[in-house]
Amino acid sequence: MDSAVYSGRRKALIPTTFEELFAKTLSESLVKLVEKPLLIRPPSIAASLPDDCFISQSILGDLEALSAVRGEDKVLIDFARLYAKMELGNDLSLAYELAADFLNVHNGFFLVTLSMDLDVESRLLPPTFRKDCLPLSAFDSIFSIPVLFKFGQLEFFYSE
Amino acid sequence: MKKAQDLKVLICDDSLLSRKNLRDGLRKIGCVSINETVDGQGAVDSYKKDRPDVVFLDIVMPVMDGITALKQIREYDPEASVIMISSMGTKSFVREAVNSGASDFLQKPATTEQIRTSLRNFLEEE
Repeated sequence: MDSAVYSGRRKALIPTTFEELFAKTLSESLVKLVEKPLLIRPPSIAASLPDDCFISQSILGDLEALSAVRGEDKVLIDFARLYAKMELGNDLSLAYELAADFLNVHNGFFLVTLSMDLDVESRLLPPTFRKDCLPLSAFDSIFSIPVLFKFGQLEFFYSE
Repeated sequence: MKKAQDLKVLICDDSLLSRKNLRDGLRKIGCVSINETVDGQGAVDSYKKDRPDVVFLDIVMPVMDGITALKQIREYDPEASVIMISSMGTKSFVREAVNSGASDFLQKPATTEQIRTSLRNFLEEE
């Protein structure tokens, strides 16, 4: 696939796989709820989840998948501040909670799109904050979706 | 039908931000009596204790999910008014919520106008 972005000046790409639909929905969620990213790279295969990736949420049902996000502490704090429209200071645990909240709302948009457009019915489990909760053995593929903002980079993951 | 300032509202959501946004929206509408819980079991217990006029209930929560809490509240009080507010506005969950007695279903994040509209059956015209 072209390394074009899902936002910006280039012609929008039409998603043909679940990970592409996840990335397209992520782009829309970020524009609507946080700010327009400078760049969102299309999903690419990742060998594994990084050790510092522990904000995650499972999707169960017709589609079974796992979503996750990681970033440097400062970037997560800036992201959470913009998303919640509130000052956090250096409260990292609150930033994690708000990043998980964004993941939950975004995954909701993703599931609604699956339900309305494709008749795929799935549900969400509450977000978790421990890497050892991730049932990675159940998933065949892990996709990385790097997102560059003015304040730094976050990396989202989608596995199915 | 009541005035907004007389309406007793219960918010049940494990998300700090969702509770804040909903509380802020309700205050803009004029509601002042707002209690909060963070899981479905808390919602059931708080409903039995305080008998609020309307409950805003999330679905994805630890301890007890919102659909189970909705069923238990409606079993305790078949006239209970419960508005589901969730990120999971899929066809199957909206159908299950309505079939279980929900008055309305709001997709997160809900705007103040959407909250106001969902309360139209409880509020006097001002």
